[in-house]
Amino acid sequence: MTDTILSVENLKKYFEPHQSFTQSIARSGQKKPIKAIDGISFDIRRGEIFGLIGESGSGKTTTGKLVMKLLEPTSGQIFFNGEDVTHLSKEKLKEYRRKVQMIFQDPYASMNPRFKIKDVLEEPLIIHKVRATIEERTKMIVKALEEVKLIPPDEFMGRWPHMLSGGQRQRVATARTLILNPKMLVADEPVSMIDLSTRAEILHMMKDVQKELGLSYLYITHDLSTARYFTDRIAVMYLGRIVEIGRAEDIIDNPLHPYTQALIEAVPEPVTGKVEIIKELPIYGEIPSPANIPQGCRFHTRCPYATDACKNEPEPELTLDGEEHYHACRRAYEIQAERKRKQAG
Amino acid sequence: MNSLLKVENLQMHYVTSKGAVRAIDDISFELMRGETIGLVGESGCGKTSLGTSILRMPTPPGRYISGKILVDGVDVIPLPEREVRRNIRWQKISMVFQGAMNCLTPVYTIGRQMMETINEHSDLPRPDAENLIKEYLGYVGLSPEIVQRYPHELSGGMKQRVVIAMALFLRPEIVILDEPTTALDVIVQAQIINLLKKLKQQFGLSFIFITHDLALEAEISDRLCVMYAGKIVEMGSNAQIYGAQGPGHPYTERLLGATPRLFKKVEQLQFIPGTPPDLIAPPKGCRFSPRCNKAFDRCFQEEPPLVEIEPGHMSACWLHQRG
Repeated sequence: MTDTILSVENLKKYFEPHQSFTQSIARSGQKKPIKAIDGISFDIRRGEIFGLIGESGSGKTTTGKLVMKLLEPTSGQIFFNGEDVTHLSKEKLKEYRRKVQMIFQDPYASMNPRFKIKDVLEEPLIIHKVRATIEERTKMIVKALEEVKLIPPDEFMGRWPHMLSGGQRQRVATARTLILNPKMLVADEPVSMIDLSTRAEILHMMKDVQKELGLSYLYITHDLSTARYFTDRIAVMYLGRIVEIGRAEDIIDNPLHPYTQALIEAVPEPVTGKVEIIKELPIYGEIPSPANIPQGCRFHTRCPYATDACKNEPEPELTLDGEEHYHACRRAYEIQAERKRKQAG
Repeated sequence: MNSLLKVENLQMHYVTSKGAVRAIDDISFELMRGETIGLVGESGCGKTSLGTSILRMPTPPGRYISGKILVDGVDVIPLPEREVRRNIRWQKISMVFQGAMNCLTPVYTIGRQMMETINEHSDLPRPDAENLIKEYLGYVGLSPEIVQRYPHELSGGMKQRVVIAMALFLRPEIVILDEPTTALDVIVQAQIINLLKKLKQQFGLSFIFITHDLALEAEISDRLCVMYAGKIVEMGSNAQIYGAQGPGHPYTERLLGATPRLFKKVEQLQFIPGTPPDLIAPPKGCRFSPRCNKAFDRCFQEEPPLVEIEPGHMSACWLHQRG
């Protein structure tokens, strides 16, 4: 056994647009495929929280769906525990999904309102045909509820989802994944719909569970501000590619790709004296359509540091800087020097 | 600076079969010309209810119980709906509703929907209205061709810009912005905040900025009203709330502690345990007392009044009077 639990290699997902018959024969009318994921590779280590960060349209949710096997990739491979899981039979898929579970974004929509909490938690046991007596099942449900700190569990088992707050629902959603003893969780924006005042509480709970059970997480978010605390490593995605990847504190304290720098500078900080200032953002405009990815470096259209080389030469690959910090920018060092000069004077 | 809007002891309750939900319970504040006031608090604290109440359109079954909303010295609560529509709503006060960008009809073009807003509130002839639309699209940084597009062809940020333009058409003096950036990514959020700051300068607007994110309020609000369970618990300037001295009320302090900081290294993120109280039967004494780590006997018995703790800085906590 290696210390890598999940490994993704050169994964691509293109969505073919719908075309009418006439469009498909008239060459001029042919629509381009939407390149949602355009060749990404990363490893998630055992017991690690791996953050995937980017704007909407960057392909982070599609990546999560590919890892969950909710979508079939166009090309590339996914390995889980060293085993190729890119294409699985129906039976194998069910077995895989038992080991890799998902927490969804919206805790209000992810639960059947007519199920009591007990039923919500029992459903995975039924689907995966876990052989157990009623007492054993109840024991498993109680254990899962205790793991997510919904105490006393007996009381919560009899409640309906509408009687719970958003935070409590997200705890139930986590308990529902834990009941099958998974090895890895994919969490797609699990706290974005929860009030800031309780967001940290849920992250604490998720981290405690992760440590206690030795789980690995793929944590998908657009919110960098909790990432330093919550994640071990971060991959920053832009238009279907990973542009920077490294340890969380390296990414936040020393971002090398101009896109990461823009993401960081856009985060508001609760300090006084900013009302009169119009923040200068080191980025232009909005994210282009993945059906029309710019030539050269795909970020050059929004990058304030772009040169002709960025536009005309082939896209830069991820290159290593220091210890496990990779970036895909050919001008990374010049930009860093420029930024330092600016900050100093 | 003169006062544009004055809310006096406003009470607005949702009358339900289970009893009155005291969503706004005795709130007073004043908005000055050119000022941005931030309304901040957890979900369910009454910040959106306050926004719609000021616009004289509380969501049913909301009822005004007592108090006044003075716009240019005139109380708008007793005015007939016709007059509010003619002279107040969108003419003096407009609002960008929460999730408004998702309320654009998918079946009409942007231009047609913008035209509808103008026709509803004024008698402007069509060519003038068309010019007005193009002019305002320019102000929010969109190209005039957008009038022929449908909402699904635009990004979230572009739709939000359209909605902001629609709130500004009739030259209001006050714009209420309810979570205008919550569904947007950080970069787009920062771009929209910059846009709002520019528009405020250009048109001499006053904003009421509603959000649950204290970090965002720091970027835009001159003054803050922190709400908890239908009441204002603290009111102070940006410097008083975010400055070195820190906020006055324990709730604001905890809320600020729970706001994630990108550059601050922390072992543990802070949070506020428990949930806000039921507003049909709020707890006796201070409403925050069941969740407060500084609460003492008096907090559970008597409700603390909002008192001035330094010039321009009000807080409702018994700790201030304990010395």
